[in-house]
Amino acid sequence: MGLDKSLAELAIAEARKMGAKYADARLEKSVWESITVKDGKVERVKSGEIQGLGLRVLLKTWGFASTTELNKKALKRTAAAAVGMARSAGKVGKIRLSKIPVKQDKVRTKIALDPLSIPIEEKVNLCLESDRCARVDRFIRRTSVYLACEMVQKNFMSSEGADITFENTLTYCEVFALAKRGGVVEYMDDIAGGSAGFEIVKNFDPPTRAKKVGKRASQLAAAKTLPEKRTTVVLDQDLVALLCHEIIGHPSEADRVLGREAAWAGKAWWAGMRGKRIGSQLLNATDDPRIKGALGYYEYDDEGTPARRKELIREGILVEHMHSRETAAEFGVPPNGNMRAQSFEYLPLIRMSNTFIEPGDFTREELFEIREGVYLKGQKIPSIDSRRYNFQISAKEAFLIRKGELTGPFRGASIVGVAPEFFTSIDAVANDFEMRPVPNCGKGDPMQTIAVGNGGPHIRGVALVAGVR
Amino acid sequence: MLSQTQRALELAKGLGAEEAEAFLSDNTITTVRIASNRVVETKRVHEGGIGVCVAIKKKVGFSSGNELSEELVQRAVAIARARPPNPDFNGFPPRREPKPVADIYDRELEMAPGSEIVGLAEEMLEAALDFDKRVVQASGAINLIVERCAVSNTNGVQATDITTKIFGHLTAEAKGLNGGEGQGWMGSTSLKKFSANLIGKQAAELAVNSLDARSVEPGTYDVILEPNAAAELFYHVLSYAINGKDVYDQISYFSNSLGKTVASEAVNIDDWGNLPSGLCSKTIDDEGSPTQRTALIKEGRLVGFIYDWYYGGLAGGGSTGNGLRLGDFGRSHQLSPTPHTTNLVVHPGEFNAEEMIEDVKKGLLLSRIWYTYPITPQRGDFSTTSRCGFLISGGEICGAVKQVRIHENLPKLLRNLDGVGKEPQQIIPWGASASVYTPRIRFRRVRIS
Repeated sequence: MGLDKSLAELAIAEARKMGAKYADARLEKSVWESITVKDGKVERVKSGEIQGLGLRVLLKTWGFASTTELNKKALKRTAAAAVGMARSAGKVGKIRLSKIPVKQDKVRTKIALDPLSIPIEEKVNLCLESDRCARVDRFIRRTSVYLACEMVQKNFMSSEGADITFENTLTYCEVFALAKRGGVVEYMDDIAGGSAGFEIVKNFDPPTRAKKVGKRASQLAAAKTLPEKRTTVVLDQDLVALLCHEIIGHPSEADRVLGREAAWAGKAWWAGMRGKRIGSQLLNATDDPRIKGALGYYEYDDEGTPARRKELIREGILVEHMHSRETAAEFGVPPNGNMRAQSFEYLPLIRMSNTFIEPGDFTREELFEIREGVYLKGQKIPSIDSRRYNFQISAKEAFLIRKGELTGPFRGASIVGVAPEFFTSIDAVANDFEMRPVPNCGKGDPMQTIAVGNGGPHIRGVALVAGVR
Repeated sequence: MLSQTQRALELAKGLGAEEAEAFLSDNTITTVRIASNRVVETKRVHEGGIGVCVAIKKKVGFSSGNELSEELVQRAVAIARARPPNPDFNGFPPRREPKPVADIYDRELEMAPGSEIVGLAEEMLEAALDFDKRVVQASGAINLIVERCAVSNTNGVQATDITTKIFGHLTAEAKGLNGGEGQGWMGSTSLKKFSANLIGKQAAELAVNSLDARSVEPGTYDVILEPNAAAELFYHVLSYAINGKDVYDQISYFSNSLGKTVASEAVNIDDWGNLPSGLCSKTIDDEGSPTQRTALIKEGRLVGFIYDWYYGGLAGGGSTGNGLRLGDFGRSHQLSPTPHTTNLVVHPGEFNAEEMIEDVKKGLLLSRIWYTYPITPQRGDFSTTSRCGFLISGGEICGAVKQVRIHENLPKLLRNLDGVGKEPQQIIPWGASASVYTPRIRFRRVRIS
């Protein structure tokens, strides 16, 4: 599938003619497919295509317009809308953009198996088999398998001369089981996803995963709950991934740090604290878009800035935030490539890419060598305050730790804490790093849902473990 | 628009489909964002396209694209031929004549130029900054959404819909001891009824009143939620529980509660898709079924759920006009219908604000809550934090309080609900695709940490 770059050139030229100091265009075409199997029945099989162009212009402020009509007349109308609205703003500030190397490049995700070329029958049968495997016993009441893939071709051009094409393939699979015993309902899921082809699904082995998910859901529905207690906690990689997403990734976004997201996603409690200690020496956190295969993979962001690895927290010291060209100029630092949009229909925002806690030197077993504590496994649902200071995240299951031995599972547990206190309490970080897919990170107005990678190893700290209500 | 959807049905039948449905959307969204006391983004998105669903012997395929083509329909047919049947597929909805819904479209709003929306955003900002010199910072946005759609199916459904809405929100920050923060929100389906000025003033007044906040001890408090906070709670923690899909999936804590008492007698809640002037009202849902008013909780008893055609069929009934395809920009041709609330309406009660407060010995009045999610959805356990709160002692408000966390169980709180205000407001909560029309709500015995 090819993109007609002359359309992007036309939109940029029109914007410049109308007075834009700077303009960039993202021309995109996306082809996708999804399969939903539920309770042994194929509920939905869908495919689609969308293409269009998003034009960003800088006058006194930012203007943006997008369209799914790819013809000259519509693009001129799009340019006029973007420029006209930006020009009409009276209450504006001075916007400076950090310089970036102007690149012409083509990037393509390497995939072993094109998910769109695999026959639908084969994918549907895999989903049906996996769904069947999840029904391990009579307590399983609902099962589902979701398989999705998307190929996105994107061309970024700017009035500075950038011309970058990115062809990316995203593949995703989720298995789910819900069990009911007596009046207790519990569910379990497992997911795989990344900037990769169908090999990610093959490696995930959905039938085997589904069987495990079914067993765990059934077991959990028979489990007891834990009393509320402040204690030593060990968190597994999946829960660490969401914790890192919520209380390290989001407050590292420079627009939050500057207070510009106060009305939406919120602020960052550590604003103004770069160079200061915010946690234990064992805490190291990184954002790295260039991890091949991870869901947040890219080589250039949606401003054309080359992507690079960033040390957000090093040995407990707050080091670097995630930037756009505009916020980098305000902070007086080089831009580091975190401006991303869900698609051509959205203005880019500062977003995390693959954000994770770095592995440490401990083995997982060493983390359990404590007198007592709670082992929390698996991410469920978060509730975080607007400064990303106070957090509560529910875990899929919990185990009591007593002198290295685990008993459980227990259901309904969640971790509650205050970010700096929890960061400071971290006294052991394991060496068993894992990256997890987070396909639905929301931010923006209108809301943008973007795919990111998050991860980490097992970590140990102190927090409140809350139970059911 | 209908000519396109009708043509899609002809193409589908010509390619061997027994049944077909086509949905066309054409939306324009204008957004002006304010941050750090200035306009930082002006945006206009135009999105349109068509989605076609075909069925051959209960084998269903779906395909969507920017525009109708034979290739697009062929893709849907190819999918249908390649997959096994779904024995639960119950066809597409029958034709039912929709009735007009008052005040859900305003031509003046549709035609408003982008510059006018920029002007409204600046007016909202000025109103906040001019309200009090202690108000030092404001951020927020105004959104104008125009949604057009058409739907046809082989049962004779042929319908179009057009709606407009404008809504704005502002967060103002006041300088003083501990800082103060306040939010204003307003939405309307017509330009004349919309006041950007009012949003700015609301936000600023709340920010100033929130100054000098102090900590409160963890414990059990009576809690009054202002409409903004109540809307957030009901959208994120109640609306999935009355959704026919989540009920079927047994994720709803109301899955086995139909006909039972689930709340205090003071609670009456409907989904009202054809509410006049409703921010998320529609003439038809996205399957062409007429929208309606569906009673959900009546005097504390659970009396209904919302359904699209498919999940209505699984429940042994039909659609309640809630088969929606809600994307980030409104009704989307790229999506298949699923049940979703339209306007969740909490019936007003008898109390004014003073009456609700004077009956509270130890409590909190919360104007806004944040990041409210059901952390254990199947039980209705949720967690949230306050953004603007005030302490109530001996029936009087005694100053602002710092952020508190509430980790509670909504089914329990619904039974402890003993006060419903008489002044409802219509709100689209953050991240929501539907509105909630609710007055103040008072819950007894809420655990605060």
